[in-house]
Amino acid sequence: MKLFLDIIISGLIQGAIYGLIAVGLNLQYGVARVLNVAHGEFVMVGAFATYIMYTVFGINPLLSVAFFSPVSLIAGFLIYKNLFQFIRTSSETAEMFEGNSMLASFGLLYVIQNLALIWWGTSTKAYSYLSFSVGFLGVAFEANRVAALFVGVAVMISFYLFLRYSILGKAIRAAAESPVSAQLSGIDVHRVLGICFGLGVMLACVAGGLVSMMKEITANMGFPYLVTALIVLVLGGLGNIVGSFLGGLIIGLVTAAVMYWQPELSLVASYLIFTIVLLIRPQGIFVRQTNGR
Amino acid sequence: MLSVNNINVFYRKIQALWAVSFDVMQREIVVMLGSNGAGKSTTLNTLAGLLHPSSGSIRFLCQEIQEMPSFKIVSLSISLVPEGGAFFSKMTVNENLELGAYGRKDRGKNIESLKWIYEIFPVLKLKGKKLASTLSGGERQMLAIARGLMRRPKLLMLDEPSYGLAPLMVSQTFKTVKQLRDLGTTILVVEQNSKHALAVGDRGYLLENGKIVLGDTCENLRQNEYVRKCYLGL
Ligand SMILES: Nc1ncnc2c1ncn2[C@@H]1O[C@H](COP(=O)(O)OP(=O)(O)OP(=O)(O)O)[C@@H](O)[C@H]1O
Ligand SMILES: [Mg+2]
Repeated sequence: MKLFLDIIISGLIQGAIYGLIAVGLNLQYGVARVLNVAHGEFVMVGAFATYIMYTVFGINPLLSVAFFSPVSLIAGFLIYKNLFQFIRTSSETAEMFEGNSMLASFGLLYVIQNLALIWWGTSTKAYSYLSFSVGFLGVAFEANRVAALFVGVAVMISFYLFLRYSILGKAIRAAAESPVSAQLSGIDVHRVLGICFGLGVMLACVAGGLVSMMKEITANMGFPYLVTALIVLVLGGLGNIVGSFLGGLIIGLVTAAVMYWQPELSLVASYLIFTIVLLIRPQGIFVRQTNGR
Repeated sequence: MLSVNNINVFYRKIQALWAVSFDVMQREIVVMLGSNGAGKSTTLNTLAGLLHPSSGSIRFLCQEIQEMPSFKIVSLSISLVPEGGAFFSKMTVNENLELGAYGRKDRGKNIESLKWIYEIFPVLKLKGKKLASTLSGGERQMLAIARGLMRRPKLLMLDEPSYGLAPLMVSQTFKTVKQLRDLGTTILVVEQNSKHALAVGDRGYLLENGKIVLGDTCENLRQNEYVRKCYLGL
């Protein structure tokens, strides 16, 4: 029983991180149509930024995460406005834009990753913060992991409420469904897509900051997170924000379970789920079938 | 109010509109008739800023708008209800209406518009919390028009509002168009249903192969031999 709980909670902690990253990628790809392969690099940047703030300036990692959120949002917005919007207006078709923007994001990936390698090399870094253990549902966990779980879930809930009830959230959903109708409603679609891209970068950085509290970080930690996010994206359905978060939790749980029995197989298990989902429900498992439409 | 001067519009290398010019005056219903592929939708989409002319100008209330992006044109109070309607099927009716007034800060005005719209389209009030995808075809058309009306546009442009509707709904739609004009909205409507359109319109233009071939009052057009033969099938 204790073992069971241990696996479940570890899985949820890991899953919340995956969920945040996948929701971010979903906003970038599902809404703004930018398959941003540099997404994982922003997780790494968030992790290192939080690490430096703590080890050099002694700033509480959770405070750093709060501080970096608006900064990364604006940075992502500017990246969209100066790079992807330019590609969008010069691409003649939507397919061309998807291809070109993915290539551009590969460029982004190499630039960020090489800068990080020059700066930090290949060494692993870690710090300890809130590393005492707390009893959580009868199992002992390090406090930083429990904190990460709570922050992750809180961010997700506020994000959901934002999309559901705020006028900007509604504009994002509108632009996701039909950019042309959104334009005709007076929505500046480029601005909204820029905000989506920025929110994606923000979620990646937040996730990175939380990861840095619990794990060792390296300059090349980002890519596996991108791969997992892509798997979750397929699992939860493109454009389905809630699906992405739930999908993240599922992958987290599966990975935690496989980790316990056969650590080497955890990535294989993710891929296996991915392949099965692609084969039987390519639209994602949380997408409701609407009769024939 | 609106004056279109010699616009040429291309889809990449293919020219769809050839030196199109026409005017719309305040409080008029102007109809534009044309068969499939004549360029009616192209004309309205250009006015709404979804397409831009390669030459020529479009003036609306003393402003040149041909280079503006469509969200800016919308804020000048020009609304387009495109072919098949524009609405968001994954959102509720109320959310759709709210988005119709996106960016307008004055909440009082939004509530006023909503009241006004519920008077014209009582169904929408009843179905406010339903997803737009659950509406019938006619109700969707009403929602699309209502969304376009949320800003109380000075100029409302309708692209084939009667398309796919039952005969009863068609007359209902044209009645609504007339009602809106009487309430002070200027309307530019594109139609294949020439009989109805000429009955409610004040002035009309014929568009053929991307060119305006005739423009007159609807009354004269109804008498015109060519119109009677080719558009009214008499
Ligand atoms: N996206 C497009 N790309 C290329 N050509 C187009 C495009 N849309 C329309 N056209 C062409 O432009 C011309 C005018 O089309 P438009 O849609 O304006 O016609 P319409 O009068 O609205 O017709 P309908 O009554 O069928 O709606 C047609 O010859 C059409 O083939
Ligand atoms: Mg058309």
